[in-house]
Amino acid sequence: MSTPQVNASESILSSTRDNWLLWKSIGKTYFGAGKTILKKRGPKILADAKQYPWIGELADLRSFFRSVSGRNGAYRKAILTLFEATATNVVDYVADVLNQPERVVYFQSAGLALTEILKSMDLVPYIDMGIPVVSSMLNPSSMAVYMDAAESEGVSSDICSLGRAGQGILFKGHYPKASVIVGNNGCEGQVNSSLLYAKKQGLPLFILDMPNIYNTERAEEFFARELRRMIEWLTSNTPGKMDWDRLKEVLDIRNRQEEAKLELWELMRLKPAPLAAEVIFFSQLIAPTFLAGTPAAVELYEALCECGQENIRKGVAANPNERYRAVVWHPFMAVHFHIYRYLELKWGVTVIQDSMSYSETVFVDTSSVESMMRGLARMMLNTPMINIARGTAANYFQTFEQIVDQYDIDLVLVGDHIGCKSVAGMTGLLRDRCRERGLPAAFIPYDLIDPRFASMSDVMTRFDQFMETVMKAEPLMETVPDIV
Amino acid sequence: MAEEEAMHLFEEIIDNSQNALVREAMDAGRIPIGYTCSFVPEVLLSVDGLFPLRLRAPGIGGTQLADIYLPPIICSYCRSLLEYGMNGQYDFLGGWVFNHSCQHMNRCSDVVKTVVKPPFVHVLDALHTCTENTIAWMVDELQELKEKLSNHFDVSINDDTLNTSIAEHNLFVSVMQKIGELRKLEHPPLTGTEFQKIMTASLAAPKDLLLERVVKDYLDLLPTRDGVKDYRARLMVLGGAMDDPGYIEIIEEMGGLVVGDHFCTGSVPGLNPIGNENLAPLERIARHTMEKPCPRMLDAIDARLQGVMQTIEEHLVDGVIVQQLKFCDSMSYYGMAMAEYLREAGIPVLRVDREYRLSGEGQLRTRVQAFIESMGK
Repeated sequence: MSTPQVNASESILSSTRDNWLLWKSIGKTYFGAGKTILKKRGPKILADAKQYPWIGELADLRSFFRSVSGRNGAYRKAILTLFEATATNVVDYVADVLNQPERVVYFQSAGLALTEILKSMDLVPYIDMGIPVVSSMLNPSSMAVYMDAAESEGVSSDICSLGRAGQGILFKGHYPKASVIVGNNGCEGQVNSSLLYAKKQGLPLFILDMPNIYNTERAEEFFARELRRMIEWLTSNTPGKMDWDRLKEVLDIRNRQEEAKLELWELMRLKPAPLAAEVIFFSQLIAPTFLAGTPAAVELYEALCECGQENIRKGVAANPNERYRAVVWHPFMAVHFHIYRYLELKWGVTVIQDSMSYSETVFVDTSSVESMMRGLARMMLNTPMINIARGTAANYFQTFEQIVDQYDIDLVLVGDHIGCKSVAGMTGLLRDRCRERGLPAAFIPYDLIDPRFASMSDVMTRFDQFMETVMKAEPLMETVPDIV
Repeated sequence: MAEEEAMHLFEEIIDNSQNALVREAMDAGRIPIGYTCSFVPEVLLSVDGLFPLRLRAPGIGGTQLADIYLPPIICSYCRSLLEYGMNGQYDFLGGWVFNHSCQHMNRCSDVVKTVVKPPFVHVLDALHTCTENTIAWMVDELQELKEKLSNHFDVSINDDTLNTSIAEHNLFVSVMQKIGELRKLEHPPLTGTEFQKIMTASLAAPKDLLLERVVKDYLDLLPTRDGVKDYRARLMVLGGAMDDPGYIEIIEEMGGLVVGDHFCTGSVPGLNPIGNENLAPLERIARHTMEKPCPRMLDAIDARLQGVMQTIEEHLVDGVIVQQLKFCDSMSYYGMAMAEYLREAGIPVLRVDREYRLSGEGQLRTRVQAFIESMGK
């Protein structure tokens, strides 16, 4: 796929089209979100915003819309589609949580989603990481007050910022009400939030226990039993009741969702890539959690694929100056997600895939209850965070090698998240593996949703230094517009 | 054996990984197996010529080698073990057995396997809740470990040998419990430091040799000692694994007397006997292991809190020191919950972060002194 020459009039036309796309998206997003809010909460939203200040943070979407600056055509359209879907569905999700507290199940996601099960039980999922992550992408400083509150109460400052933010929201009394808590041992930093919430609110707590060595038949059987145990517990402790037919429907849709996702990922193997960055990692953040098992998830992936296909038909790359194909390894920089646009525009780095998105794709056999439970167990045990943050070095590197080989990766961007001990403990071995493979790797320390450890400016500088000294690259531009 | 001689032997054992008793056992053809966590059952490593040694890093200075692979936010215990492994100090071991205690230890095991490459290494996957489901899982895990040990070391691990090993463990525990009971007295015949030295020595040497040569005699000597009178406050220490009695020594230098403890290298759960005689030995061991009160376990927290209160009442504790290794996620919630629970019950609490290697002694002294004074003692 080559990059065609563009003349001046075409340039003006495409610029106009891009601006129109942006403004249309802004209108559509706010209109859609506003409509949902009015329909589901009405004037109560004003009291909600006062009681839960993070609602105000979610209302300011400028950071999302700013992220398309310098990105054009179908790539821009894909990102905007993603943000529209996020805004609409997050609003929907928050409204459901506020409307039905007696049905709310707070669950600590650690990358694994219980959305399919909970929706099939007519329960409302509240995903612990949802608000902190989305909020910090919109306003990097939004969670600082909560992290500080947590530390004032005795929470260690070295716990992952996501955990601290969640615990701080609880200490400040800004958590929406839930009826029960489901925690899991996927992440030691975050499970503290579940324990704390249960204790502070006096709510029933269920811990989903998962084996560290997750990729065996024995582990799947065990976890399938754990899921059944959880369902029985939810039946006893909430108004919810499992509708197995509904679960089948939800999982059938999820299987279609996975097919569409794979089609999108397949597009990313092209050089240059027709889409990039947020299209991959953000879709994987949203679809398996907020949208799991709904037609909206399938539609989203299909829309993203269509954008990719459009670029392929036109012979256009997401990054016209693609020089390097990168994998983002370890958590993507949620609080500084504009860095990926920065790298595209200044250094010609296209983010093709990331370790918190990629994992074995599991299609669930929906022919029986038992096969559904086994499929769910396998699916959950193979979610990216479980895959990367748990298990052994062997399966960690298996995933790494698969990504590098399948997507023809020539640069590794390691988000050295200082709050995650599991990924931190692998940096030495990862460095050795990159050397063995001849892969340049940038290790950039940061804190997932706390900009105070490493600011956007710090991160940009470190990447610049890496690109100059290690990659010996020349910048494509001196200053990237709209970056901070 | 005289008291001083006994204590000197305990100290020699603590200070040297290849101490006299370890060398004696190895000379007799026994094989030392290092392990990292109390969820690795010692009894399974105490069979047919094998003997367990809790992995420690006595006298460690820095972790320059280990830091190449494990960054500073990985706990210093893990980095210390890796340091020792990388500079050959564990080469005398027949093998290593880890448990997936936490994510720090998980990654430590990955680096050890890749970089240190011990001749035998196994990682147990003990889960984090105690249910019939997880106990059954643990039985399978122990079965797998048993088979691997048997095959690699050509040893016979069967129900009979396991039951014998359990009986020996329970014997040791019963002797140590008698010593531990003496700490409930108003003037105990031994300090917390002395008690911890015995406990740590028992992790660092073959228990059978230690029991016969020293511990039993020491128990007999204790009633003849004058009780400890010159202390200001009776304290309990709880929290993460602590294998350096030096920490207890500093606390006691400032006027505290450590009369109780809840950490895995101390008396609770270290001195819990293995019960359930009617069950098969692997199930006995699995139940005993999974029922251990440990910050890594995510359930039964209230029961653990009540267990702490029971110790406080029985040992007449004035105040509690909650200690944790810096960067320990498992202790993050548990330490906070424990401190809050105890304070609500009117028990003074001091929370301290520490490193694995005894350090920050001046700060610790100051804090303990202030803590004791704040209790009005």
